[in-house]
Amino acid sequence: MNALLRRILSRNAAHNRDLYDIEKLHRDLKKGLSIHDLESTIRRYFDHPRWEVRNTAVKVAGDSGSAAFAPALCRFMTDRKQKGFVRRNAATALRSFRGSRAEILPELMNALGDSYWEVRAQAALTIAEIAEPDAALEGELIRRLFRTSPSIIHHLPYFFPLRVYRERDFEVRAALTRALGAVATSSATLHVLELLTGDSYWQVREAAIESLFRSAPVLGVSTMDLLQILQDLDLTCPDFRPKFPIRETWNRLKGTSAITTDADNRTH
Amino acid sequence: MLYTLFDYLYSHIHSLSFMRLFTYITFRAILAAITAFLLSLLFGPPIIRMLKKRRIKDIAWNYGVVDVQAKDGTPTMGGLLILFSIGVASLLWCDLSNRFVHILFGAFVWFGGMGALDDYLKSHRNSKEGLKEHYKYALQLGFGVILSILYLHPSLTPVDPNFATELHLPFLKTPIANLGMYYSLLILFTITAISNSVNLADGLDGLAIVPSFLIAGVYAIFAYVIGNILLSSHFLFRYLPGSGEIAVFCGSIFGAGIGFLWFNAYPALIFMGDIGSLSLGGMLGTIAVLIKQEFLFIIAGGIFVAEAASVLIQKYIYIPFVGRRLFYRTPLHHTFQHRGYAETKVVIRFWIVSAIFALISLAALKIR
Repeated sequence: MNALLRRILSRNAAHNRDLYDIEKLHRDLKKGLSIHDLESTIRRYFDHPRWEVRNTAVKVAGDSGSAAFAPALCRFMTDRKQKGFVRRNAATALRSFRGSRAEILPELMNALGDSYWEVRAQAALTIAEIAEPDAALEGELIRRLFRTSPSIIHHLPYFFPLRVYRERDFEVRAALTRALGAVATSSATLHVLELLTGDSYWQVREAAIESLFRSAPVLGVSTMDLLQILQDLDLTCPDFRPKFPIRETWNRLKGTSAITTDADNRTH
Repeated sequence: MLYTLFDYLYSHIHSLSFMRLFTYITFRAILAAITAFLLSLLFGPPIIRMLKKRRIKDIAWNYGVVDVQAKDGTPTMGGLLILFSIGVASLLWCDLSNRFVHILFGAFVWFGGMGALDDYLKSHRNSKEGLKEHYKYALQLGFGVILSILYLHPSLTPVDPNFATELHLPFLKTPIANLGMYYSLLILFTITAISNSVNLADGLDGLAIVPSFLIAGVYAIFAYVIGNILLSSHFLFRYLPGSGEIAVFCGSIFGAGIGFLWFNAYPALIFMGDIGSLSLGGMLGTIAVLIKQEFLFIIAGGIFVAEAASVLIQKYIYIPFVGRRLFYRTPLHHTFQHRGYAETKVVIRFWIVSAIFALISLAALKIR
């Protein structure tokens, strides 16, 4: 039954050459083809009736690095009629347009209210990447994270176990934490990040540590003070990566030698 | 084979009457499990060496959630070891004149061959693309058609032809319907669904094998009860003469599964590959049909059902039609990895849940 469904879907795709064309364009772009001259072609795909085509067009626009696409991508990201993947990829694609920060940031903040978690997470990560310290953004991000207002943030430790998070998705929370590290201007952020180092998800705790170290110079906190703040940090988590000693040795030795061996050819 | 020998000795030589022990299904099921386990331990290392020598290795596939490169190069097709152990143990301890056993060996050969072809193509092409999906479905449905004929045709069926088409549900004493020839559709669905669900769950070290042998254990108990005139009457099951022999076959699967886990436990020295997952799924599906406990798999194999359902919902409904994800990643075990749980933690938790599901399904013996 799955195969039948898939066949019907792929037959539809085969009948529609546009999807193939845009994906070919994307592959060519990754090979190094400049598409600055092809902007009008890409724009044609933006209005395509099939979301898969629009989705690929959004990715191509992001990869092109052409700032002329920024307004269109902002529109895609905040248009709730677009499919979730299209909105998410538009949020990701905007990372390429650091120069248009002033126009993009308000749209990204708007996207943080999206109903789809991947859009919120990618919008927050884009903010983390392109934003600079900004008090207004800082306050807004804290409001996105918590139900409480920044003015009563110092009372948070007492309410913390009561789940004061506004953002319940761990992935978005981690992304917002990173964004907060990028825009931090006041001690309120320091306190919020300190609270987030106690989050139940280690990804959020990890993001909080990184954000603390990122924002410390802006907030005028020394490394010694930071280490003092983080002295009770929980550094255990339910995840770890396998390490095969023989592979480590192999990689170390290989790193000191430029010779490509037969074993490499076999493995890859 | 040994069953026939011991049965002959017990029947013809008075001084060897103690050999009647070997005619008991429970005893042979235990021996089959131990034999399969020891065979796995004995032949595991040489099979792993052979697979490494032939460069039948796993191809790393980046899911975006785990460091898959670390496992790159682990030999696959470990299902060979499972099939070898099940095959030899069953040949030794099953009553080879039993019709149910014939059908199970048919499933063993069919799905084993299909999985071997799939793995061979992957290894040969050095890619994740093995047997094309529609060929895979065609072969699964092909076996379903053969099983339908063998099970439903009045002159071929090993059970009462009227009983063969009755639809039984767990926790209910009586059949809810007689599907007639439409029962063949249920057989086709059961075989295809179970075979694929085990295949989908085979993504982390030890994840597929433990639920598989637990389900084999559950089905062994059900087969024994249903094939025993006193117990079937006590538990209000319809007596299926000869079906108790399935318990011996299930014993082989159980033992081979534990033996394989010895090598497949994290970090795996060998992966089962499609030869293992497709054949285990195919055999479990066939067992479910033979003892008419198809729907019990939804409980006993709850992990497999959840894994398959997550893929179906995400891949075939949510992504193409809704244009977004419902789960972080699919199959379901990748969702937990995405949430930051290590592979071993995910696998052990899935084992715990499988064990709970197995216990609940065993409750269906009494609660009817």
